[in-house]
Amino acid sequence: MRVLLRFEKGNEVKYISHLDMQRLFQRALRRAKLPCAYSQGFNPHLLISFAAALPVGVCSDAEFVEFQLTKFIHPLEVMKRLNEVMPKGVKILNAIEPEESFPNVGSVIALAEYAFTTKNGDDYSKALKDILAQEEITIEKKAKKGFALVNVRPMIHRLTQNGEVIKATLSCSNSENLRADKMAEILSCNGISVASIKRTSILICIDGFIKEPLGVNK
Amino acid sequence: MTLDDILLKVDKPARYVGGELNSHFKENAEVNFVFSYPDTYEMGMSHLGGKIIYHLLNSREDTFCQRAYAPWVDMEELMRKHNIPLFTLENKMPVKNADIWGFTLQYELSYTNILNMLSLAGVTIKSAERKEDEPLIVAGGPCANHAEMLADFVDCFLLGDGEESLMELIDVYKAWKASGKSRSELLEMLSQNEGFYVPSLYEHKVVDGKLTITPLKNAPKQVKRRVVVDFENTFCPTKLIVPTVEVVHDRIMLEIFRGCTRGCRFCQAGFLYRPIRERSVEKLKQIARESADSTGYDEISLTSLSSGDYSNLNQLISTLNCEFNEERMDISLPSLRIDSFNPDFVSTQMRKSSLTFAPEAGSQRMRNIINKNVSEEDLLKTVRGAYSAGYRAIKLYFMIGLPFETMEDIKGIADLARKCTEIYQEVFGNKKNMRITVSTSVFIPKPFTPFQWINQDSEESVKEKQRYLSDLIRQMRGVEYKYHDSTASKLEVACARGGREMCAVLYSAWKNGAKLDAWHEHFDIEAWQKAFAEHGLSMEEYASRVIDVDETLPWDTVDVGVTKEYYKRELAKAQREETTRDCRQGCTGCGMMNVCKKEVKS
Repeated sequence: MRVLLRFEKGNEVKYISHLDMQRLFQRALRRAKLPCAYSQGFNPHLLISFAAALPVGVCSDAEFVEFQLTKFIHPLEVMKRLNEVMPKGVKILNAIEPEESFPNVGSVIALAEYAFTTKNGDDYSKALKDILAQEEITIEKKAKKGFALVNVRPMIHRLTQNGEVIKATLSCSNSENLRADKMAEILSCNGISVASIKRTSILICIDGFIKEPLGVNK
Repeated sequence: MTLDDILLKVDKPARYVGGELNSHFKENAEVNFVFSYPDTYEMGMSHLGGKIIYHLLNSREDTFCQRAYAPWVDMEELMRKHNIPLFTLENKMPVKNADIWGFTLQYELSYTNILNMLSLAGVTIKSAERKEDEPLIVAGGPCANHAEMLADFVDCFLLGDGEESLMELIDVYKAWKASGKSRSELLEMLSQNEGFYVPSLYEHKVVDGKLTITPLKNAPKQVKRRVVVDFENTFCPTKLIVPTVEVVHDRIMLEIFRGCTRGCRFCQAGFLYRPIRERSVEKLKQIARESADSTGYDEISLTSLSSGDYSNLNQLISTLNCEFNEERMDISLPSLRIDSFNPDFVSTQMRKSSLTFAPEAGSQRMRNIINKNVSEEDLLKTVRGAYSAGYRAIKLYFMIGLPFETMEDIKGIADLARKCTEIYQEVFGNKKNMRITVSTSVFIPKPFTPFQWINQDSEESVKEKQRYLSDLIRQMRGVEYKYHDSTASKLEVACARGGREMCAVLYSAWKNGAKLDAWHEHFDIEAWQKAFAEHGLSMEEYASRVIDVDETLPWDTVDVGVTKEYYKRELAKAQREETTRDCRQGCTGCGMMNVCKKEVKS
């Protein structure tokens, strides 16, 4: 059975890299004694996939992981058992058994929303307007060989301020991705210094419809 | 600049923030202890002893043990730039606020890191100048038995097993704190406990090159190394910290026994951890179960000095395989001896791509000298077993520069490799995919071994031997030769056998920029050479010195249990190319019989 989880990556664990986060989950699944499915073959590995790697230092309320169990356990029971064995800072927020036709979250991910908390809470509406008014914002991105210059302006879809928090909706697909730490650099170039970053949601695109993979249980 | 701002700029910031599963957090503990492995987090968190100490001290309600490791160069630079003192992983406490700061001494090349960490913490480097309210600096681990080079910097060494002595350290510290006595009185109090060596209470005088040692203020003439007799029931943590950053040894290390009965004459651990003390299969099963449940690790490594020697190995492996049958648990044996290798065990470690064996020396004569009681027949039988089990890659590990070594012995290494290629041909029918790696390191004479008085082979001689071996091996296809640079090994001899005059050298080397010496990319031999020269000393002299067996040695204050007479006897036997039996086959009279007997009874 497939299990899709949404989890929180809190302040305590924000420096754990994507790869180390995967290891952390594999060990948590063992501690929770969940009957996980493994791949076939000479070197079997756990069937688990994480959507959209988060840069080191960024917190998140919208991390998604999918794995498979060899027998049915209610997703909310899976969530409960995992939350009992997680280190501080990692909390499962919701769990579902996706329908069979439901695609892997990582493959249909389109957008991500972030909250950038500013250092001084000033009103930056003009700076934000200026950023959005630019036709091109070019940054250096890692390419296959060395670095390439990329125009990321089309990847910024929304930029608003609410109190001391700047909310941004950015492209986060396999073909177009603007990382949160890069966005923070752009903000900083426009005189906005960021104290902390949190991913607040991820949006997927199925058949042209944009939606959340699964909401949060309140 | 906040800590967060700095952490975003350094490599692997998770190394500096703690918060790992099963780590501890306490408020208002009576005694604040900081444990340090004087190297990086990845090295420190791979160390079993550190985990025992951390969980042991935190098992006390009155004590909070936190950790601090050596920061990597990028982090250190930013910490110094922004005046951030060395802090603990647990609650980011400046280490200088600790009551007791303990270091483990696993290898000599970590000593500059200790000075660097003291400086980063803002703690006075020299013991004699330390103020009343600064932390008590203690150090343990194998090198603590001969760390005269640290005598100016460490307040008290704890010798031998720490499971009992660390608890006593806390008790004495609390009693001292309540008494309102001075720092120097604390040191005197500590010196009255078995296994506590306070270097400042021993005067070292060198006259005409001869050393005399005088104990002061009632300090015992000799300090006995501590031995935990009831190893079966001594503290063993099972709710282990699980590091979040991948570390060198990231698995359950199941300590199946402590000590070794073989008596290899070059091996310091073989003498320093005597006598052998095993845990029962039942106990090990329980420890393994609890550790697996609390950590989620998928690998258990059967840890000891020579795991193949465990007396019930077959039963242990089948018990563990049965216990973890459904859980995809890897059970591995890291230190296999050639003569205890059993192809049946291979199936339990299928994932490894190659097998490593350590004949240590190439010729039978040389193996007799070092008392590595393994015959060529044993080795070749084992290699055949490994090939028959499907392994195509093997690694053979040797030492060169051993005492009384000749070129004929070096040739023996190449001969052994050649015989392995022949066996490969016999087993597989051809030499396709054959990979034999021969690797050599340079022998280092260590205190508390029968070779403690012997000189190290000169750099020229070592290089000649490496060249000779390299020429012989180059002619063999499918065999590769790897060797280590011998410069660092010279320094290791000086650090291991040096007396208190080396304190000044260490201080200068650190001032000259030496740190992270165990890291190839940071090892700075020039900083050290300059330091030796500044004090009119030479690394070469330390390495090439043959010490008279009747001379007083800088580490004579320490009584590890094995007698000096025994070391002398073993050295004489080595010269005669005679072997000494494994002491399980009958006592060899090393001096530890009393402890051995106690263990047998319990």
